Amino acid sequence: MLSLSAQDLRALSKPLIVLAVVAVLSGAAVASSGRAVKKAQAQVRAEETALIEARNRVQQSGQEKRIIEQYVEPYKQLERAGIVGEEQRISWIDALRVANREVDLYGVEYDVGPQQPYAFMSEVSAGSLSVR
Amino acid sequence: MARRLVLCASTSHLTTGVWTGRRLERVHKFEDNEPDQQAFANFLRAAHGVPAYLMADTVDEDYRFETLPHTSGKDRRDMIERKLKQLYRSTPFYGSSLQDREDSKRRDDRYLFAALTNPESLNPWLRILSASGLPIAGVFPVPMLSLSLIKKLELTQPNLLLVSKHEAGVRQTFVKAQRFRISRLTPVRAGGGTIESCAEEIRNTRMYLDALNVMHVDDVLTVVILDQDGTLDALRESVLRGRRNLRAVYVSPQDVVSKVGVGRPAMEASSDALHLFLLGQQKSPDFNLAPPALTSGFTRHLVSRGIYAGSVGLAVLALAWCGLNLFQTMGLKNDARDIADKTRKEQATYQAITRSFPPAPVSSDKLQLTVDVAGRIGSIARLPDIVFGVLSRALDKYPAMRLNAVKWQLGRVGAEANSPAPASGPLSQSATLQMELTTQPGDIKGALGSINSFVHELGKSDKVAAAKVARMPLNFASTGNLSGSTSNPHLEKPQVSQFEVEVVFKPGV
Repeated sequence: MLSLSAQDLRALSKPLIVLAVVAVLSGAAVASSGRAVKKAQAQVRAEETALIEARNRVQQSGQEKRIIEQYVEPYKQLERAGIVGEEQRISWIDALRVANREVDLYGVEYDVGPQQPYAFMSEVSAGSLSVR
Repeated sequence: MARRLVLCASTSHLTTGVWTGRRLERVHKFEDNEPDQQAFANFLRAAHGVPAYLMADTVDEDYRFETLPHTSGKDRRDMIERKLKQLYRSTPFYGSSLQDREDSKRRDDRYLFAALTNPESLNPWLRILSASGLPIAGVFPVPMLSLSLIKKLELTQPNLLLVSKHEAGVRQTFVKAQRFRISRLTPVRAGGGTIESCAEEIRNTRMYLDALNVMHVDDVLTVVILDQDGTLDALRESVLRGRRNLRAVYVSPQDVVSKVGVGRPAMEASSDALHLFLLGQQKSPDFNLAPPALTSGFTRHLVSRGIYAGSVGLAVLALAWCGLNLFQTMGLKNDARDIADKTRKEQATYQAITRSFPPAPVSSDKLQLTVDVAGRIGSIARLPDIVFGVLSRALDKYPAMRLNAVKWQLGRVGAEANSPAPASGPLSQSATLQMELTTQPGDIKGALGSINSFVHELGKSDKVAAAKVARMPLNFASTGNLSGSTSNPHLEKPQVSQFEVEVVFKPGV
């Protein structure tokens, strides 16, 4: 078994310190450069994903155009009906007053509560759309 | 090969040289006196940690061959150590070398043992060397270094006697079949008149070899005269005179320079230069006679150099790794830039295409989703018109009943009142009807019959899943109170009884 004397340790202390410093610096340098590689790989993956998305959008642009042509008018109708967009409580109440006056009712009591999420979201598959 | 100090010590002087890896430089001779020893100490101080290789050139040396049983490993080491201590009790400078194995059935090992029998002769120089702190690689016998000359000088003769002149005298080394056999140093100074004495020594050696039966008397002995300073030229003729079993090969100073490689300035500085050169050339000379205590500093030196070499290797490896990573990173960044350029081109193409799109308030995805969701909401949304229709038809048949209020809702089937709707299940309409019935006083049974009949009428509709009385006009339960008066029924007024009916419609209605 190897036994080291104090003289041996004194003689070897300097090279061992150098070795330790070199090992630490080498490890740090390798780790740092390894992180740079991983970061660059992640950047490449992100750019590839963006490219795929951009290509898909170009490839699906014809379909997108057809969708817009098909759905823009129904969408605008929903907007006009007040189903899409900000709620119009004042208009509702005005309309109620007008209706009450025109049909000569005894009066209508109304109570409009605060907005709440639509109760049957799972039935309508709204996805990311906010339905209230 | 690293820089090293090469030293040749004898009883009267010490020759030093600096081996630079290829050449022998600064060859200098120190006499065995106090000023020269001080000069030697100063010389060592300037060496700064360079390892020292010491060669012993002395008459106080012993070489002997021993045959020992074949062993290996620790057994061999222990056996040789015991043998060496037995042979050389008075000196720490000894060593051994396994030469070959005998042809006998036992196949015993044949060893060469060697020692410096008078260590005192080296002590003055070793003391100074040890005090300097320089790592001492070892103490090596001169004849062993001579063996490397056989190959360099392309000597193929079976029996060779290498004759060389040293500061300590003339050394003759007998080599048989390329293996060392005998060596002896004769402290005779070469020069005018010494040629004949050298020739006489060689002839004596020849007779000694014959006497030892190392050679047969008819065998031819080739005397190789290594002349470093041109003073042994006449020795060849003198040796061969009248000797038919001797041959001579003269190696001139020019041959030593050209075939061995020793520098002429070094050879001119000392006749030990040739062997100092050979000592410097050998990476790890054989036959180290130094005790471990003397070479411990050199061991530390080797370990230290190994650690430094390991550090350099580690640094180089790390640099290479980092370089590879850097190269890979640069390549990946270039790839990312190329892909980003392609993405920008695709985006520009897309932008150009979208200019032909009709104007839309939101993206196409959201546009489609919004319209689809609105359609789905519309398909499940209900107005209470069906409820009112069913209720109106039932009320037409029961004019005594009056509807006060309707609580209508659309929800999941099975949802209890005042509890959260279940997560799944079909949607259906339900209504709670708050009603009143005008009856004759005391006609409780008639009132109950009308109510039940009304509920039954509601339940007959194909749109209704279930209809029931939620609250009766009176509490007929056995657990409640029931009070009234039957004193004068004719004076009583018609009674108005209030009750509630719950109606659940079929899903999808």
